[in-house]
Amino acid sequence: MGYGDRAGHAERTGHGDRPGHGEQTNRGEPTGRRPVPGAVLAAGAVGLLAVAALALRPAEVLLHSGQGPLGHWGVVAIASAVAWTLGAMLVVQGLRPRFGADRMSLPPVEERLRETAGPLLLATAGAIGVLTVVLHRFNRDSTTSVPAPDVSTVVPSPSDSSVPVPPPESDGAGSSFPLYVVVALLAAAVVVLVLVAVVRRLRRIGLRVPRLPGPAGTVPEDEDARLLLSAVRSGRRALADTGADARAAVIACYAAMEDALVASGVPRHASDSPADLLTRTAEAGLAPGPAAPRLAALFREARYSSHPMDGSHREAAADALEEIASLLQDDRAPVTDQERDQEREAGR
Amino acid sequence: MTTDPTPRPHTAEQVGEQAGAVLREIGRAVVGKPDALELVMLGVLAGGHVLVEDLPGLGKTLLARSFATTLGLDFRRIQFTPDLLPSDVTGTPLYDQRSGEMVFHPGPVFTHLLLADEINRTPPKTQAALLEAMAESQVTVDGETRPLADPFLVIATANPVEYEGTYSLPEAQLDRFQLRVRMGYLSAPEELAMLRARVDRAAPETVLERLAGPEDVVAWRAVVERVEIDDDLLEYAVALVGATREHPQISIGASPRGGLALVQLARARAVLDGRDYVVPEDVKSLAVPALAHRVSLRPELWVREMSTDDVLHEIVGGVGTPTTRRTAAVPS
Repeated sequence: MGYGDRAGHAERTGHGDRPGHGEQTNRGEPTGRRPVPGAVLAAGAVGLLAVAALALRPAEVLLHSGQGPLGHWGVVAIASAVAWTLGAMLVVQGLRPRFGADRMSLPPVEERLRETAGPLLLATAGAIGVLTVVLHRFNRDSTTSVPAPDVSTVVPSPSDSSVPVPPPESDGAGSSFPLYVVVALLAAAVVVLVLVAVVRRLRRIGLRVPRLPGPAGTVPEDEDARLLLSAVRSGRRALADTGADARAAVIACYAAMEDALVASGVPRHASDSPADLLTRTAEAGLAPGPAAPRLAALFREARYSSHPMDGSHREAAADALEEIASLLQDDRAPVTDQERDQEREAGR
Repeated sequence: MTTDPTPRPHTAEQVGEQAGAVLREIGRAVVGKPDALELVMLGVLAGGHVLVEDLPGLGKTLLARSFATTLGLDFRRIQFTPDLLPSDVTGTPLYDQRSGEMVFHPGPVFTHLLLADEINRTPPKTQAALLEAMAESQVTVDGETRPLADPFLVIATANPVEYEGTYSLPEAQLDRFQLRVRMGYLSAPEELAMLRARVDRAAPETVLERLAGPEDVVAWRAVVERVEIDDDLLEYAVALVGATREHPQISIGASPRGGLALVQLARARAVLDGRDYVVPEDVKSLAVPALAHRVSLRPELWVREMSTDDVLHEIVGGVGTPTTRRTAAVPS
């Protein structure tokens, strides 16, 4: 059942958040955003497989005559494959929203299947590419390579023992060295790509790549402390800059607080408002004290209003920033001391 | 009941204090729903109409009546039924035997605060009778246009449960509501406190005091009109509205009227908070109530029981707020 059928069914049965407004999808649907039906996708996949099968058909007839899957014009085949891949990537990027819209209706089991099949198909495509290159024999002279199977199938008779028969593996041995280099480079590239993809996926789902255990485990802490100090210093610099006006100084103080909180481990998202950042700070167990909401209120007034700002605002922001910096540093110090004590105990 | 309310406020801070006092007074009758009360108050301040959507028995009608009492507004109520006619809403000309002329008898829409109870129980023809009144604060009957009272506010209630004989609200009418409010159930301690208060006062309902009048509401709205909003925040509102039009799970995004409502509600929230400028929190917190009822999900999502609120929450979590540093310099 295609998309249109499902939509019609939903309209008739009146399911949903707002029943009876299914006709809206007809008159109000943005053009060019309709999902691609599953049947078209399936037909496309079958067609691509058929083309691949024809191209991979070995030997002498149909599309090419040569040795190995790539035929006589191996370089041309590789170039075509690269162009084909780039084109497919462009098309997929363009159609991604449609694919996304179409799979909204998948039940959980099919959704899991889809998630499994995607990486498998990608890995298979990569493996086929590598195998194609490995299986191909890059002979410079195809005319000599054609009778090669006949040579290998001839059983040498004792009478022919005086004639040296070259071993089959020596055929094309002169060109095998660069082939292996190419294969090794390709394999290395595939491994690097897979590793990058895996690490990105792990980061996206929230896992962190474990840090290497340092000699005393103090390097990351020192790094965080350095970031914290540099953030506070940048705020102080903005305050000391007499050329900047009070409004810019207040905003710079808040930006310094943001940087200091991020350096202390508070995650920052693009969709955060100042209130969200303060909430997340509290959730992270940090206690910047009442100075943080005070500085946030000053920042909101400086950033989003046309109220006149003067030296008193600048002083208030500077005081709040100093208070936050000292509280954050105090907040960190007992923890690190405690950890050092624990490490000493463990060492004994 | 006081007849002369406090002097007309002139600053956002004064309006915020007065509106806060009204909310506290209403909170004596409608317990445990401060968020819903605040949203309705924002609708009052922003000059919009409010759709209260939830299950029966959650205090929707009590909420509307409490606002009318505390704000000192003239209050009328229409119980929408399947046999209600448009003339029952707007009014109709009747023949006067003594004068021999047709005399217009105004309907319940000629009031300050109109409670349209269970609006989805009446056919679209009668629902549409409210369209002109809600959009333009006027009614045209027999070719003659009559203005409605100022302020004019519609609080409509609707049950989300599908019953036999209900008619879903047309999109055009949904779009005319500035925001949608959901009441939700009380927590167990709040429900216990409500029952205890009911037993203690020995009366069906709490008697509320009038704290303002129609002139105050008009003055409050004038203060809201003076609230400033930064260009970056307007861009943020446009980005939120635009994101509803590009989201793959939404077939119809929010209209430009949705963006207007969002900005006006954000200004009202600033006034309620005692500010004369809008901050990102104002826009962000009101995106769901102001936009969720204006979008339509794709049909396949109806079966998965996803609500427009869920999708709007996702959008709000994905659209970036204005950057910390100002893009254009403003003189101090």
